[in-house]
Amino acid sequence: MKFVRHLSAVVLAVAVIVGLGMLWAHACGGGPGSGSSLRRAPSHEALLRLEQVKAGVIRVHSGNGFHLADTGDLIRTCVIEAVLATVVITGSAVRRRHRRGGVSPPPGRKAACRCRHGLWRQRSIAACGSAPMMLASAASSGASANPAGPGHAWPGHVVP
Amino acid sequence: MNTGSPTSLADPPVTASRRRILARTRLDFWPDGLLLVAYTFAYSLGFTGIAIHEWLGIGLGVVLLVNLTLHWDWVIRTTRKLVRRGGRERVVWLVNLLLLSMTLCIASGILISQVALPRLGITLPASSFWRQVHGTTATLTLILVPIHAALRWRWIVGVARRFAAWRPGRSR
Repeated sequence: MKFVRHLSAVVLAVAVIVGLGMLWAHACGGGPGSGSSLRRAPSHEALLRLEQVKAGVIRVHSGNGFHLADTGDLIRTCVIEAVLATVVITGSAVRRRHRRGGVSPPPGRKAACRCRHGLWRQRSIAACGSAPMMLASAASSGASANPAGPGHAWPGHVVP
Repeated sequence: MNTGSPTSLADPPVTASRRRILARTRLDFWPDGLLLVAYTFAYSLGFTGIAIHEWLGIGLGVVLLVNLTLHWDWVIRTTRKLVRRGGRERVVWLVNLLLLSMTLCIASGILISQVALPRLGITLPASSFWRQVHGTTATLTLILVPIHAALRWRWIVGVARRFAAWRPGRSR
């Protein structure tokens, strides 16, 4: 039932997007049929290309299947995607590292513990003296501050 | 005869829950991967040829519809955050832009179809406007698809690792 409700919402959203596009096309005077009614003379380049096709200088595919000879097109698309993804991932990694103040997590404790001041758990008590996030609730509830002792693993500690 | 111990009797709900999570993760992971690969092929018109390009585009449209339906809650949530808050959520507007551009790209592609629709017995008059919209939105989508994937790269790597480590019959 939920799926049907969501599907109808999606179809409605798509219909709105396409409808807006149609309106845009209509406003621009480029609605369906504009290509056939507003015929312009072909450009010089197009005519030249047509001549080359007729002369057999340029090979034309039937368009019905994969053209393994044209992998350059596919490779170019993959390269564009890979470059963009790499840029975003690198940016995200650099930003994350910067947010952590350039301190890498201690081995074996990847993203588990950091104190309020952004220092890693093992350093937090010794270096900045601040309590980790869980300390406040533990202290208020009357529980012992750190059962494992300062600078050691803190069960249930959360990233601020 | 199946005589389970008390622990094995207690196990099924946990296992079922885990299986459901894994199934949901699979449902998120594979269609997204399929969309990425299919779009890469569809964009390479010189490689696929016009017929495969068009059928692939129609298939993409169907997968996109299903994908959007499955993640409609997320779409609404993201759009609300976009209006309310700043920070990282500002980046997520790209995703909504992706949905918009991909929808327009597929819709305009259907409207200028030369092979697929005529084969189905539907002929639409040619339109230079939709041709232009198709080209522009296709390029925009090509830029947004890898950004969309890269914004979730930690999740992708995590799930890929889990799939690589997963063996049938071994509960995780």
